[in-house]
Amino acid sequence: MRYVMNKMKMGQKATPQPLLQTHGLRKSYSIGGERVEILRGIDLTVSKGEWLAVRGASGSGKSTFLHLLGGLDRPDQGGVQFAENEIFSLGNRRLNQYRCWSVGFVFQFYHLLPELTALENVLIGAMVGRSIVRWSRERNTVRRRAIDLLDKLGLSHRIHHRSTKLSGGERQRVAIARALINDPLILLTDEPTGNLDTTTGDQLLDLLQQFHQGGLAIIMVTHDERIASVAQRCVVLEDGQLRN
Amino acid sequence: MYKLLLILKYLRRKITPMFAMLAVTLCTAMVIIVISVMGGFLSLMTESAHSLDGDITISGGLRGFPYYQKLMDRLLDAPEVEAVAAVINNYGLINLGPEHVTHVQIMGTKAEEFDRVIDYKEQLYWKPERTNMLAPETDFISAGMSFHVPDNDSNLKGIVLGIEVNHENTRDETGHYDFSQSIVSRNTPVILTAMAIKSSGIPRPVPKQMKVVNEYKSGLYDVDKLRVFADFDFLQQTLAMDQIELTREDGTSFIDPARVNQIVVRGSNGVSLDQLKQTVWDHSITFIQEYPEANHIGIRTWKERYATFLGAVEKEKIMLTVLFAIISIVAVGMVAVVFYMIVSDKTRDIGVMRAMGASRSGIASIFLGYGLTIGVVGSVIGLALAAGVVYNINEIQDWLTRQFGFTMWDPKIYFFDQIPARLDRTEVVTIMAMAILSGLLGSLIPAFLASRLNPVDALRYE
Repeated sequence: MRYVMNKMKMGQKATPQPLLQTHGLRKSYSIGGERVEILRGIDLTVSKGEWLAVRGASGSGKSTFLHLLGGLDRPDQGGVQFAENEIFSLGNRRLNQYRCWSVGFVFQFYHLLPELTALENVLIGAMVGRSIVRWSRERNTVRRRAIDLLDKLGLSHRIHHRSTKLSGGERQRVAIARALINDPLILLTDEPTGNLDTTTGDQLLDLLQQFHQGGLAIIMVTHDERIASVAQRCVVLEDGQLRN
Repeated sequence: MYKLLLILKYLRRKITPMFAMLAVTLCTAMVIIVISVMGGFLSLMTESAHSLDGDITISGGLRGFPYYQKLMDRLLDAPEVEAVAAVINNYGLINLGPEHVTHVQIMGTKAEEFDRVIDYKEQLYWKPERTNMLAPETDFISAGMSFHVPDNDSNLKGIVLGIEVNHENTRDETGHYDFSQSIVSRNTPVILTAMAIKSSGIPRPVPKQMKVVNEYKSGLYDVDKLRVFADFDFLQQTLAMDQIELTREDGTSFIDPARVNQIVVRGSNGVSLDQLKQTVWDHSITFIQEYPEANHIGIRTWKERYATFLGAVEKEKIMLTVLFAIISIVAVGMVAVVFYMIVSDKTRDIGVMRAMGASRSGIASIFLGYGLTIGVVGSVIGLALAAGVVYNINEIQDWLTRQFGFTMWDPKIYFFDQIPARLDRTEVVTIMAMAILSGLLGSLIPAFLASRLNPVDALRYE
């Protein structure tokens, strides 16, 4: 899959292709013994380098949708195609590789590992997809990239600080660096500013804008109309279906 | 690589796994200490039992067997045999005072000959360093070897008593005997009543006045409270086991050859016990064929003689090992509980790792590696702790006695005045392997549960 993606990167300017497509995506949960249908057949196409905002009320299924796009959960029906590959027909190993190399996750509550420093939190994202041999070969390069990312995100003075010692905005920036360490083609962000004050949230959006300008596709889930307006395109998730 | 990083970070930053490590450490240390003390006890008992009667004993019952010197000469010619000694072995009573009569096993030995088979001289307790304060002018070692009473003016024969035969001998808290009363009363004769066995098999008591010339300490309480030593020739005559001329009913006379009850044999260096027994057996068969009067002799190795006694201690050691192995299951349970708590605590981290592409087996191996590390570190610390205790166990006991008046190993009760302890490499390796395995087993179920966690559920975990 990585090989396919590399090919896509090379051919980006010549023939822009859809990066991620969903077709008839359905998902339901059993709540209190009752089956509740969260997603009712979602069809969506995201192009490479596009910034899409998915807006919706709390409990509308935005996070569920994002988890399905990232291969963290399986749909009841329908599928997700990434670079012409149906991700749910991949074996466990290749699905893990998809999560590791093709997408990056940023969560509302950062989800940094509290035992690790800022730099280690970023590096661990790179370690997951590399064997010990490969890691020992590429360690210096990856470490430089991690430090560069943290530097770009304005955290060069905090790289050796434990994540628990960082502020909310700093933690979210570390989470972005972690999501980007493997140079994914798409960033899936779940309420990235939801836990930040307005100023910090805006600073974060500026940073995302910079990465987007570098060619990164972003799917951003948010309930906030103002935040959603930063994206190139915005869809609304309502009653389990998407509206433009 | 991320697994190693997380294992190291979890180890350094979390207090909870320290409890699991503590459980492994304490269980390892506890089992090693118990096994080492029991093992030391057993090996000291074995050494003591071995030092009592040499490698092999040839016994001929209470009546004894004749022509023993022929058999001894043959055995001495065999390269497998280092030394042999004839022993008169009898039972009787000793009277140490009006209220102090006790039964004893009487051994008549030629001390120099006997000393070549067992370290008899070494086991004599009245040594100059112990007796100089009480009787500096007397050589009790020579007296114990020759059974001659020093400054004897009454022609009484000397006797060596097992250190526990005289009830007045008491041990202090350091395990040393206060035998001053024995030395002071050495000029008072004791009466030894041996049982001469007539040719008809009927015992006849023969009382003899004797004087105590030394005491003997093998280290085995049961032996030390029973055994007394006397001169071989004196006892042989006393019990009518020496060569005598007898007259038949028809008036003709004949020679009844001298008898002994036992020959004790020591094997040459490098000769195995089985090999030695075979040699003694072969020579004894030839001997019996030549002298059918001695056809009732029996041959036993020292291990066979003390099999019941040593077997009991060995079984006790096995039983304790099993008990402690069961207790070690607690360590497995402790690790399992702690790891279950860690997995619960780390549920969201597991979700994050899965979102970053970590596989189920990768997640499981973090916790298995963590358990393995706890097992390894815990068992190594446990070994260090156990080694510290085992190598200083007597100093620790002395300190406890001084500080709190508490004595773990009361030398008044046990056979040995020092706590015997030794680390056996095979046992230590086995115990450590078990401890490492317990860490791994304890983390197995939590690791499996962690690997089965749904990433979405894990991320939503509160």
